[in-house]
Amino acid sequence: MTPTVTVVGSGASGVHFALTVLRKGGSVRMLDVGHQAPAAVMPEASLNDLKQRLADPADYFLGSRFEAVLLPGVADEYYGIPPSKNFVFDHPDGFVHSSSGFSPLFSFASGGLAEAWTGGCYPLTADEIADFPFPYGDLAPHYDEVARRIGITGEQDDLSRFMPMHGHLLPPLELDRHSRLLLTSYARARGRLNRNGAFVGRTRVAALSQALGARQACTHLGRCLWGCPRGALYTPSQTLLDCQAYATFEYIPGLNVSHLRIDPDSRVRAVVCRELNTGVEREFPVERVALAAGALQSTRIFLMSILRATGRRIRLGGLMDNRQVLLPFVNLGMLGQQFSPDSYQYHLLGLGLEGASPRDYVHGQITTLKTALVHPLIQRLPLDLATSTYIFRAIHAALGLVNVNFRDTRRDDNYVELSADEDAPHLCVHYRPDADEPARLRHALGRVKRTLLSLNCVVPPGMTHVRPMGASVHYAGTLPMSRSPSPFTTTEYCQSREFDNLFVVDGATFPFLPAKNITFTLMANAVRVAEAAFS
Amino acid sequence: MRNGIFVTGGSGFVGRPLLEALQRMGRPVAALARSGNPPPVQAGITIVTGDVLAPDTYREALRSCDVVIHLAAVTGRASAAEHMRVNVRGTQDLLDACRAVGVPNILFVSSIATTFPDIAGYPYAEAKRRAEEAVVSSGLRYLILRPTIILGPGAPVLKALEKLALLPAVVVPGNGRVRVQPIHVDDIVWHITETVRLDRFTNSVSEAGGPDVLTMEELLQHVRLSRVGRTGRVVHVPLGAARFPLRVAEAVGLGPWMPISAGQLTSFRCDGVATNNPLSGRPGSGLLGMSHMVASPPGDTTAAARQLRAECRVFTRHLLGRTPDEYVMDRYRSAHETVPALAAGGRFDESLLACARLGPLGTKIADAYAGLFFRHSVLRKKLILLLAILETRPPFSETIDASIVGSPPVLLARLVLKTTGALLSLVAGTVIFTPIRAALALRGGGAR
Repeated sequence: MTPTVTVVGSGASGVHFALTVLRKGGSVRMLDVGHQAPAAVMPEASLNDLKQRLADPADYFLGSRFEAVLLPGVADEYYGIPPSKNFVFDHPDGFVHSSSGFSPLFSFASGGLAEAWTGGCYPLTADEIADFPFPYGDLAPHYDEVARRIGITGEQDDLSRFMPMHGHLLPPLELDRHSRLLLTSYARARGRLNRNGAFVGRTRVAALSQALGARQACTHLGRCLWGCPRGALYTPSQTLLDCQAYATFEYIPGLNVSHLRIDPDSRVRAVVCRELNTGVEREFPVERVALAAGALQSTRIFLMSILRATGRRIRLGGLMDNRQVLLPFVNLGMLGQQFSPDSYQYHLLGLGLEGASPRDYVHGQITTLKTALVHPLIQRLPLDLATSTYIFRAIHAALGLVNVNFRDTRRDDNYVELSADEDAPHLCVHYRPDADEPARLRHALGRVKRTLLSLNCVVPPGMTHVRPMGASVHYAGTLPMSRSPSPFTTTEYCQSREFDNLFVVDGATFPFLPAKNITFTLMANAVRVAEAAFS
Repeated sequence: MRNGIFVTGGSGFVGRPLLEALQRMGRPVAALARSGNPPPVQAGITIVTGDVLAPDTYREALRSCDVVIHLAAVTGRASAAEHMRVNVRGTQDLLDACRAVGVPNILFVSSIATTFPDIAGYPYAEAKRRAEEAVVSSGLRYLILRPTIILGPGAPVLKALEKLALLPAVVVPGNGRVRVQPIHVDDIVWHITETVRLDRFTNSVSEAGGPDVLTMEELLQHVRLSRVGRTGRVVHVPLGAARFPLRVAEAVGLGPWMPISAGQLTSFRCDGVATNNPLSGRPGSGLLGMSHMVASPPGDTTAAARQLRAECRVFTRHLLGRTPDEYVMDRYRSAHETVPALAAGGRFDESLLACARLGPLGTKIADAYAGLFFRHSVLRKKLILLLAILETRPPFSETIDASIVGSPPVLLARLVLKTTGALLSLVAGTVIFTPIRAALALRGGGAR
């Protein structure tokens, strides 16, 4: 029997969309490549226990081919992907894409890219959704619902002006010593900083401070980066499990969706995919389809569907991504102290900078260094590695990193299209930053550095790292929701203007990208669409 | 059902393969491990964190066991008091705990040294003899196993023998005619598992030796032959002359740097052969012979592999001031098989590596130069990869994690001192390598 809705992709948007439809009594078939996470190794062991107890710790931490070691001249990022997270970024055989000015990341994992996220959950403000074709009140209740499902910690503080409060917020996670000291310094400098539009507070994190259902609270194992073995840090595969408890849910992994078969009356008739194991093409007839494969993959499927149906090659503009800049800092107040490994490893604090307009808000996530592997940082000092290691040991407890996020807007010269080859056209991504980006970055980073200085922290010269576009993996904007019925846009319910039984429920439909991790909003929006369109 | 096996000393040279073999038997196995020194984790083995001298830490674990295999002991250069404390009192505590919870059988691994006619000044043998007495009078069914020298790839004794055999001449304490009968670790493990499997707790003593009896001098020559391809000239050092400086060195705390302890010299004047060897009948290919016993660990056979091991030792001393263990050396070698970026670079790369291989100071100078002027060099990549490996492996990871703590002035003084050393190395590196790089560039010799 054809299900109520066929969902493509099992990432954050897809699973929350599916769960909402299932709860409303609908039936869902989910098609997915679905690379599976490896089983958690010694779930009760802390990171240091793992080093002690694993027979081959280098294999676990660095990979059997040492692929997680970033050597100079080979890679440009601070950190490699830990081997236990390879499944998130592995591509199926034959997957090809090309890009210019953009370094896209794709995930074919069961659970999608958020299987490797850092848990930041920031509701957008009314100003930030001004371009969305619905009022804020239509979205807000769904933040509550997602918070209830996934468990978000946080509290009302100075950052709430940028991140509205919502229901079901759990008490914040315990702070490590370094983060506590930063907050103490902030309390002293608060008046002056606030006058300059700088605010510091707790981040909102999808990591449990208390048990939620079968998931246990964070017990500070120090393994966030390698994958929380206790399920305290939320990942979409947990919601996929919730979906699988429904008899009306069918999850079919091992399929790479190629395109949608379109009827002459502009309705989607079937999803066409290829079995990864056998290469055999399969078609799944559909009543309604929800594309939730991630903005770039959903766009590829959309472009391929039009190409197959009409022979037209179109170009979809408006691609957005958050520029991210990493600023390592040294907290002078922590020098000469022992670092504390026993806390949540990712950001516990955030830094908000008011902009000229509310949409120019700049958001920083402050992570203090705890149990992460340190050779990627030690090698950056221009000294012999023995001295670098010694110096690093003296400043380890004092080290932190601000990941500064910048907003992006839709521009036509940032676009996605298919390559010209006839047999197997692949995805091509083009991106150029706007002309005023360098000035914007310079201005904001100067403010971040001055804010850090007020917190008794200095940014070592030459260590600021502007990440390439694509690195933040907050892709959006290619099939935007709009009030006007322009071609290649979607309605307020993310319904395609070309094919009325097609919904696009991931970031592709966002008409604006604020300087925040949008995953929380992706989930809330997917719930909103499912609630409204499938009642 | 009470059918568990409790093992002490599971992290040791015999303990690790023994746990693997016991695990294959399919019976529940619990291994006592001191905090910070656990055996590698294997499925089906319960790790009990505790200490043989603290019975409260493992008494509960004993309740489900009907066999205890007691391997834990201090060896080598520990003090006499430490030998008595761990090897005698520790054994007594374990026996008391076994009696208290009703464990019926114990296999105690002792030493052939207990049979030496004169063990005065050899606290290890003295302690093992007293521990044997405790086992005999414990009331438990027992088997006391007295192995001769236990060899095999990675054997701690082999390292000591290498120090004597690989000097410019083979240094033999005493006349070298003392007889030994080394046994392969796999054969000891086989003997222990057979004892357990066939329930041979016959209240007896079993001396376990290998297939060949040879002189100490012949054994040292075997080691040299396997390492450098030929035997060497022999220098005999009179035992009396050797003992005195060793005693002095041990008294002032230099014992750990000596190739051997004064007590261990006893092994160079007393025969260490098994008189009632029960191992002659191992099925299959029989007992493993000398070539297996003195073999280097796997992957250590070629000149290139030997160079990587030497390099790993020098580089680890440079990075952390420590000696790498077998695991680190093995991972370092395998990284060279899988990471293309570590393959030989240009001529200048080779110059840096040649300097670095000279020793920790050479490494520091070459690294200081490369850290500023040649960051993509093969030397830097090798050092970074090694640092990454060390970071995953205790106790090296603990060193890297240990913050340098102190008040700001003290910290600053330390950092200034360290940085001064780094700058001096950089000056030396610049003086040495700038002309070399320029010369290679002029010749078009690949000074990349």
